[in-house]
Amino acid sequence: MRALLFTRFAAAAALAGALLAGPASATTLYEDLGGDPGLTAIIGGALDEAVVDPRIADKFDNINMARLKQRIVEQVCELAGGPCHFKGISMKGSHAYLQLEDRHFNALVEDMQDTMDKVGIPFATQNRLLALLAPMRRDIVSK
Amino acid sequence: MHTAAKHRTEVLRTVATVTLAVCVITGFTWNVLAAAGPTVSQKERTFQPHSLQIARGDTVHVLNDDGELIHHAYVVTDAYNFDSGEQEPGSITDIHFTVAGTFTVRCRIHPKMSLIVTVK
Amino acid sequence: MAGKLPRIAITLTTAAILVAVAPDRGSAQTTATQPTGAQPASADTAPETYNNPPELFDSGKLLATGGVSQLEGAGGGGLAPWALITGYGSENSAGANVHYTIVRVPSFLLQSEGAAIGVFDRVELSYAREAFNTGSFGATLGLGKGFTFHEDVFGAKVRLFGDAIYNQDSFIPQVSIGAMYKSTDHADILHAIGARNAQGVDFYIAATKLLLAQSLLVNATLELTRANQLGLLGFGGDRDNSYRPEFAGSVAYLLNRRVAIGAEIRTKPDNLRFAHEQNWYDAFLAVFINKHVSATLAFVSLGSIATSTPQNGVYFSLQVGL
Repeated sequence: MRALLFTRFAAAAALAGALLAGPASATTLYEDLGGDPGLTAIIGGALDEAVVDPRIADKFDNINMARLKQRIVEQVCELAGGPCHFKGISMKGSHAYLQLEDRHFNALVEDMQDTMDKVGIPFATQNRLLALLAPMRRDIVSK
Repeated sequence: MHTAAKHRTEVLRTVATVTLAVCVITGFTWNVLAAAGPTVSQKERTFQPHSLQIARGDTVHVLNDDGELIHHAYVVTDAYNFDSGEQEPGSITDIHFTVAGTFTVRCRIHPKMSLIVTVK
Repeated sequence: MAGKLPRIAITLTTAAILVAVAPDRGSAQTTATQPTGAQPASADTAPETYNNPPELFDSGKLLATGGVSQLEGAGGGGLAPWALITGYGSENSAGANVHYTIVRVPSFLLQSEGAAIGVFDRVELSYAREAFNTGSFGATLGLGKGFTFHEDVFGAKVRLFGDAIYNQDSFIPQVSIGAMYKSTDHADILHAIGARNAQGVDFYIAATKLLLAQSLLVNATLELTRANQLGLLGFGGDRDNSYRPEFAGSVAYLLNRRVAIGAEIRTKPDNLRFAHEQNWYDAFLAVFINKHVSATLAFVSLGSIATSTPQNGVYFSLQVGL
């Protein structure tokens, strides 16, 4: 009886997931985020917030922000299915000296969410982007 | 009778040639490196040392010794320009100063880095 | 019930003050705006080190990722404990909270109040005091109207492996194991209705995963228990006395950063002859006002709980924390 209940529940959850995922989308996440202008607004806005966010502002000391924004836009563009080629650099190697913790990573996530809210990206779309970025945490967070 | 002496001469000649060759190569290499100019390290997002004096025609060797970070050295003045492109970790970039004056080498990635080069 | 009111009032008042006053430590405080592209003014020297002094309660986790307080005091959904560690403390910090929960069904009033702490996002300790008021049904049982059972629940949970939130490139869920030591009063009455013990321990293993691309959170909990109605009617019984594996499942859909809706199910043992025990279900709405206050409203279906009427009603829970 319980095994049947478990199976039914698992099936319901899987169905919910499949329905919410939707059919294969006609547009890429890159397009849903507004293409290049959209990504520029999102990443630019997020980093503008980050440099005045007291939790992480000092992490951006001695960094060329204009260049950083450009490189991240390239990276996210490629990740989200856009027509960019991002010459990979080591997330681990480039962040190690900052000794970042989860709370710093999460602070930037929140700054990104604030910016995407302002730009008008739907929550579900925001989560699709964050789902692509979240796995980088293991390389970026070193403490 | 001659064979033993001849053999010894040949051996001596070979030894002398090899020694001479090694000296020439070492001396040449040494001159290329030493006479060319000083080495500056990029480390902890700074240039170390952060200032130096060289003679016109010298070459400053910039070593990226900063873990896995990429740097990008450049000089922009009316008299002299230089751009290294992206400097991979562990790479050495040669900056050949052909003009006298005082120049500030900066990094496009880390704006606070500066190396003052006085060229006499 | 009268004795509870001051405590309820204190909790709600504290919550109200915290909501009003909370500077929202857990999010950016933009005290100054800068023109786009400008560098923050700073001395022309690189910081010596990047040593961040650890904060005791750093509010470092993302909103809602500590779950809420389930009925027995552990971090999770409304009905079942999840693999998430309660609170907003990140891996180098801690988080703590208090909760008050009230469940109103036709014949009974169930209240739970307690506290929990999560440390290093690895270990969770919780305490809850449950009060099960049998109302007029108590009179039917010969106990007197408004007869109330009290249960103390001491819980401990450890995150074993996996990550629910960040490892979005893996289906491996976050898995935690836990135990709850429960002790209920009126042992003589419990024995009279067929329960074997007034104390018991539940064991569970929970697996939780956030499917971020689908804005969905799913949880499955497997529990080994002998508790009757979560232990409110004792442990073990005259119908069945052994440990049983029971299942709890939750699905939550994130509507936005602050609001989630979902449904849960929790299966129960059926140890007592005098009344059958049924599965519990709920459909909930959870609102995370900020990292200090969350409120959950649910419709619950608790089976008949020894009466002849289905006990369907309302569940409300408030969690307030650091």
